[in-house]
Amino acid sequence: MNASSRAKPEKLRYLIRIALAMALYLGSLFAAEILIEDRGLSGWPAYMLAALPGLAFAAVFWIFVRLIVEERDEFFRMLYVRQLMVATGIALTAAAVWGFLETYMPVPHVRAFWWPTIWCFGLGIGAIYNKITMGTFGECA
Amino acid sequence: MKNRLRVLRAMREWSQQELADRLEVSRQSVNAIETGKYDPSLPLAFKIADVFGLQIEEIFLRDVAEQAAE
Repeated sequence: MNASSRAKPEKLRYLIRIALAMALYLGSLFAAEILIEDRGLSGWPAYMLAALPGLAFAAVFWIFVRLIVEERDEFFRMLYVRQLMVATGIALTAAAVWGFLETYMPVPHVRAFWWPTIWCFGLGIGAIYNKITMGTFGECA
Repeated sequence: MKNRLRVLRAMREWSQQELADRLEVSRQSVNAIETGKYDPSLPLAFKIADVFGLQIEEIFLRDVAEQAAE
């Protein structure tokens, strides 16, 4: 069996982890909408439930870093790190610039959960950057 | 860093995928090394040397500018 036909366990683990994180994200979001918004859940259970979608979303960072740690192909590992740096640069720059715009200019408020969302889009931009400069998207494009 | 990977591979009539399988890396890795977009780590460079039965310096060549600076 050659390398091309061999299933990569680190990639499979990555996909399973992403699927679980997204299921937890959607489940907790749905629960928060029903229990807090519709049924008026309050107190510390409401705070915990309200924080859960964010924590599920944050798991994506951990999952991507685990992929970098577990990837055995050093070239792909470098591509993932480049993707991560592009995404982080874009998200932090956007957050910093918009924060100062909100401080000094009459621009609309952007809720904080959009910054990690932009980070995820940044991973896609990082993959395109890899394709342009290194000839391949990497396997997580 | 320049290298003779493409020439050595052609001499053995191996495809990029065949070489990648021998090195246990992706075909994209072999392509990136051949085109000079990626310099392999020392362990992978030793593995490449072992696969071809050569010394590392017979495969990877220092840039002319680097040599001139010494």
